Amino acid sequence: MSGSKTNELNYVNRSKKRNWQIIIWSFIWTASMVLVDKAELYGWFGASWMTIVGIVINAFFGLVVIYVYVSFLNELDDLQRKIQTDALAIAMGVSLVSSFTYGLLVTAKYITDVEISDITVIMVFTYIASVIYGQVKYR
Amino acid sequence: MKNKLKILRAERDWTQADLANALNVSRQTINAIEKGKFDPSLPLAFKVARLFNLAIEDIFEDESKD
Repeated sequence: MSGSKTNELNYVNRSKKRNWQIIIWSFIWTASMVLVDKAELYGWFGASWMTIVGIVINAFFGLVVIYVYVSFLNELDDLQRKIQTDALAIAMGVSLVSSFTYGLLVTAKYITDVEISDITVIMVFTYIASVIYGQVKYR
Repeated sequence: MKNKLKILRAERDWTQADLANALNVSRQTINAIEKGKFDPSLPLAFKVARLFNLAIEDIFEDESKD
């Protein structure tokens, strides 16, 4: 097929580019979160307005990550988009159920050390597992 | 959904990668469609039909029974 070598990686190249954008912006967002957290913990900020600015900047980076991820989803082909949205739906459902169960366990005092990051970890691992499941299912 | 994608591709001596590139999708999508594991969206089905210069019904077979 003429020109296929030149064009063959169009979809793959775009996907790679979007993947790198997600990785880079996720790293920036996470790094800013850690920075603000440590700055507040060790008193690096001289004034409370600096903390607010740091939080706002972190939130902005979070919005950029969302934008980049939505752009990533929109550029996927039919199958890949289905795999990703199925994984997101499962992760959201599991997170929702987990958070309510977690709340009940806290109320019943089976859990005393509340960590919101526990739910985040469940959500992330569920998402990753669901994406892997989808990729294997349609292999 | 049964389809003749593999046959049409073989007639033209195209690889799955060639067809994926022509349709601007991943090779995994082509593989999944050919194996009947995944049904393409309507826009993709139209793209396939235009590429092979055939009607959609000549490529994809609706197996649902009314």
